[in-house]
Amino acid sequence: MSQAPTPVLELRGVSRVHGRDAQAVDALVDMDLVLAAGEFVAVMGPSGSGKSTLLHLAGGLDAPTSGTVLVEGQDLGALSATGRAVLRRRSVGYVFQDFNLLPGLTAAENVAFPLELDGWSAHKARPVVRTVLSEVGVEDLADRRPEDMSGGQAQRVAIARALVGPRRLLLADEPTGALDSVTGTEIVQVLRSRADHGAAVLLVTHEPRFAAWADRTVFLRDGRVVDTTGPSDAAELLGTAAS
Amino acid sequence: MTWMARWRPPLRLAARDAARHWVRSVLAVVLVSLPVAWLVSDTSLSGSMPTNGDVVLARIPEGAQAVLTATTADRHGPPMTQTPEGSTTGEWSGDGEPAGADELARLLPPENQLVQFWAYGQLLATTGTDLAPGEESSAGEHLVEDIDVAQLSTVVLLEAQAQGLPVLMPAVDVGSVPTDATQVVITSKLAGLLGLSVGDQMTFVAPHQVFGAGEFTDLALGEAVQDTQRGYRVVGVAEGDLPQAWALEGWLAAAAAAHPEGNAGNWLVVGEQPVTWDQTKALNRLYTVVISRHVLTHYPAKSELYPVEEKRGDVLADAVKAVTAAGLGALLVLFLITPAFTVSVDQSRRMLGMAAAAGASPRDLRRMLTAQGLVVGLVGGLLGSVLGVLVAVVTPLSSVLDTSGTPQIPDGAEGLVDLSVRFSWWTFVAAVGVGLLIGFVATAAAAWTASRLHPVDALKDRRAPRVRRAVLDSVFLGPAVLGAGVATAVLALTVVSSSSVSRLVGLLVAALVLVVTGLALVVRSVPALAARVVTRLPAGPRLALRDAADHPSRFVPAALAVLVTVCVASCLTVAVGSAVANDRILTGDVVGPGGLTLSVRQPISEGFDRLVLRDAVDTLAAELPVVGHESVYAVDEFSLFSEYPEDGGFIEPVRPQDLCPEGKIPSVGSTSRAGLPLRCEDGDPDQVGGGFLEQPWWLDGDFLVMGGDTMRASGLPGADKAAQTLDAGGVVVNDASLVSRRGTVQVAASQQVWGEAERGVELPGAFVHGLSPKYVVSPETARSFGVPLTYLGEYVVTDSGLSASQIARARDIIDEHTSLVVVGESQYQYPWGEHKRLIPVAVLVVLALVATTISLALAKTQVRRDMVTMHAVGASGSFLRRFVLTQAVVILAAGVPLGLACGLGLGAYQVTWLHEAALQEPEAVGWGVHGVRYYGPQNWLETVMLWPVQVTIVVSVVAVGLATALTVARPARRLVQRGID
Repeated sequence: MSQAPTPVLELRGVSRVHGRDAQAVDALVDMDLVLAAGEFVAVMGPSGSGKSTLLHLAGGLDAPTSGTVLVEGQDLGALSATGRAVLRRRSVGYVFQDFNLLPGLTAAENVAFPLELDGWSAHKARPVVRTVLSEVGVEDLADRRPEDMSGGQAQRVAIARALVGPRRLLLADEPTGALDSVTGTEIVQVLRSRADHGAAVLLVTHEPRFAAWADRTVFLRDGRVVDTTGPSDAAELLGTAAS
Repeated sequence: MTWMARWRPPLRLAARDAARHWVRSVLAVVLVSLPVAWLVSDTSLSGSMPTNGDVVLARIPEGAQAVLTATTADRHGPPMTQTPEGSTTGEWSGDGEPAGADELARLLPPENQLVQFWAYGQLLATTGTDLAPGEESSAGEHLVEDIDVAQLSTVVLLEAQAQGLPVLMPAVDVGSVPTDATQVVITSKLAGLLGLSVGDQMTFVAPHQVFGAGEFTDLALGEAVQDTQRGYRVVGVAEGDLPQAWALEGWLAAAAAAHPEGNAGNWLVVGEQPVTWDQTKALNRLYTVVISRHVLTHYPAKSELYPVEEKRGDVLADAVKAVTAAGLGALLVLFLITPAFTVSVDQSRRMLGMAAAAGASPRDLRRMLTAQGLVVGLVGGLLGSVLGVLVAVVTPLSSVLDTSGTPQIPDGAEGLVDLSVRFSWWTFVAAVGVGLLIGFVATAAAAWTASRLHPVDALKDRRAPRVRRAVLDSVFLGPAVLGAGVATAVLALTVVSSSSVSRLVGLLVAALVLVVTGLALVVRSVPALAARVVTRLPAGPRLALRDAADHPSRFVPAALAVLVTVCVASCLTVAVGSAVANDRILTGDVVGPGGLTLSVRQPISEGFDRLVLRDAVDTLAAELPVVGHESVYAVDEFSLFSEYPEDGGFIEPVRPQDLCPEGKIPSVGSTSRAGLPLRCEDGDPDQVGGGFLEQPWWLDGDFLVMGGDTMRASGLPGADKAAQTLDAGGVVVNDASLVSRRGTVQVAASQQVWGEAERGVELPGAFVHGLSPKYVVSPETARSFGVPLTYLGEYVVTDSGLSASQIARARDIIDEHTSLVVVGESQYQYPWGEHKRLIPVAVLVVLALVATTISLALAKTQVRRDMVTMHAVGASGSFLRRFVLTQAVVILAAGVPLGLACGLGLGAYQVTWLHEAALQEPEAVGWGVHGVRYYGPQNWLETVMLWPVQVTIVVSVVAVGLATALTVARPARRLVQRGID
């Protein structure tokens, strides 16, 4: 009997309370979630349901009030701030709604940034960066600065930055929010493709047609998981077919 | 009221924005308040500072209308002119008789009375004789030699006619006023020194005089009264820190009457009627100087004053100082404040976009920023006014007087001059106006940017594309504009003698504008160029460089603020170092830092003077590490040329005749240091200059005689080598051109003063920079040429020199012990003179640090979004700190080296300009210690960079700047905005 592979992301009984006393708000309540390698999970829910908090906790940008977050088997609560930073640059890739590319760097430099933080020289990083840019279809933009790109191009570069290196966990916080529907679909296709190649992808989105690309969709309300569906269930439930 | 309605929305939005970004707003208010505070405090302090007129007015005795000094000038000479404060032009001493009472009275209001007084400062007071009150004796040259030193003091005696004495003397604390010429009132200081009290007898002694220098009267009074003494009875004691005495006319009056030639007449005008400016001018025709209470309190119109020729050199010197100070000061303020508002626009992009979308016109957007600037300016102006008042109130005016140099309040007159600070309402109006102006100008660029924002871009918080071409242009344009500025400055220097002052000021302003513009362009291109040239930088420095290149509106003012502060600090350092160095060249010194000389205030005889000084040395040795003393002598010129012409020989260094062409002499600047290339200028080779040594007053600075041990005790730089030369029978000189390559000095010498000089005698020679006397030989060498010597005083020998506090203590010890001894110390303890001359430099260094810190704090707010990104993709805290630190390095790397280069260049330029300006006043020719002419009081001969101070400036700015950056660089605790979504 073969041993089950270690989940890429695992949340065990995670709660997060913002504020204190009378102002205390439960952002996430006793949440359990497991993402295996190659799994694409979409998170949906109304505003204030705890979607972004979930992503912050998964990336080690925020700490849970209670519970445990494990990334590739490592307990984030046991790591120092520097340890969590190292984990983010090696294991976790972030994609933001507003792309958040560093305006002072070119596309290639933005993608190489996590590698350089890890001690790679720009020279050594170059071929790896070219490959990733090629994978997301923006190789010809390597020397452009973010301000000279369209929204879709910028987001592809942001995804390339999230993918570069050995990272296997991709956290995407409404990456299609600032894009038109065609470009948005292209971006989700890129994420789907990465999942198919072995990365675990956690996508926060408001759009059911994008969620339909996921292996399963987690619905949140008031910090709690209220439902979980497979892709066909979601399409049926929402009356939208994945194209 | 329509315009008010238009301003209401922008004002409301501006207020809300300012409140939201309160840290930035407070910073901007504080920045505006600082120059305003300086303006208020400086204006109030300088406005309250007593003028020369105030000082002179305070010295007119209460109850007198005017003080007249009837000079002994030749009545056929040029007419006398004076200012209301009593400054005259020309020489007014001579052998003539001064105007008498009748002549003076005819020109004065008939109701007033003329009261004559006499004063003489070179007297001794003693309790060591048994002269009865009123008894006089003429005891020759050796009046006091048998008296114990403890029973002697120097004293200034003032005699007056009966009506004038109560007016001239202070209130008597103990006893009564004199009623006849046998009685005297003395100060508490004199009473303390000699142990006198009311009823005691004392004697005033007028020793034999070589020269005289009375405080109120002419040289002749010393000659008239010398070698006599007179007994008095003390009838009163008045409070006073100096040894002074007051008596009714008697001893001095009689001596002056017996020898009227050359004795100036001092008169008080008492009575009800004022002495007017017309009467003053009439009295000037009698060669009488008038200081009138009425004239000083009712200052004559300029048209009524004597015409004064404007000194072109002074005007030129003031011009360069004013242009530099005003220009750089204004730029500094703007560079410090502008970035705050530039970042304000950046932070408010969305709000501005929404306002535009809601119908705000570009003008409304501009008004939002302008309104914010005006409010910040108003609050900053008010805060600055309060701070300025506080600074002015807690700053003692006397301390400002010390640094400003003018007017000097004479000893004993401190209490007479009003030193309270006065505030004027217009100062506060101007302060608020300046605050508003700064706020308006500092926001002008930001307001312009706001008005040009594209609403769509602003709403999406998207930046306009960078204009790369402009940055590339500035790489070439900057140096070109800078070069044009330097060329204009050099042009101004070359035409300084032929152009009008207004044209020169125009050229200076143009040069300043071009240089600052050029520097701004160069600074702007630095990060872009560096980022392109150094492509293999790690991510942090690369990001910092590109951030600076991408945000010129924040980076350029910040780097320029650092540049300008370092530039001004460096330039100021050059000015201070050069001023001190030139003082030193022109006045010289007889003792090095840490050394001490002792001499007698009133020479009596060699034996007695030695006794007095040995007693002083013993007193010092009881408390300070004094291990001995060495004697110093001068040539007895009085004996040499006046009394015993046939007995003495002389020795004097001569310049090699082939040094300069006929009729020219080496310039002071080229001979003040060894190894400088020789420059020749017009001058009389036979002219001999006099020294400027101030203490002791009777020391002629030309020729000193001392042995090698004395020279070593002087602590002068190069004293050891000079001591060896003296011991070898050589000559030590302060003019490098006199020492040949063989290390010898050619001297003219003769055993007979009036005989033919034997030229061409060569003696071993050594040069000492900054030596006051022109030449020094050992006593043995002097005697071998038959030069008659006179004893001057002692050099105090210590193990390793005295500290500044020990020297100050030595002064106090001697001051408490005796008034007979003068303590001499180096006037140039440090190459920058006194420490307080570097205070403005320190303030500027602090400002440079403030500029760096502000820029980093603003940059941090602007790059917060990028920091969040970096944090999210794996940047550790230490990386973020290094990133901000690199931002500081970029600012400092652009500002500090250029600032230092600018300061050194500007300092050298200013010194050269001042030198040229001094040359514009040929009538102000003086003679320096080298016996070579110089022009004006400051010849600005050397450009001294003061490298240790320059290095300290750079190291302080860089080190403290980086340390501050480390504090500022701490990443925000909550880089991720926590929310419940």
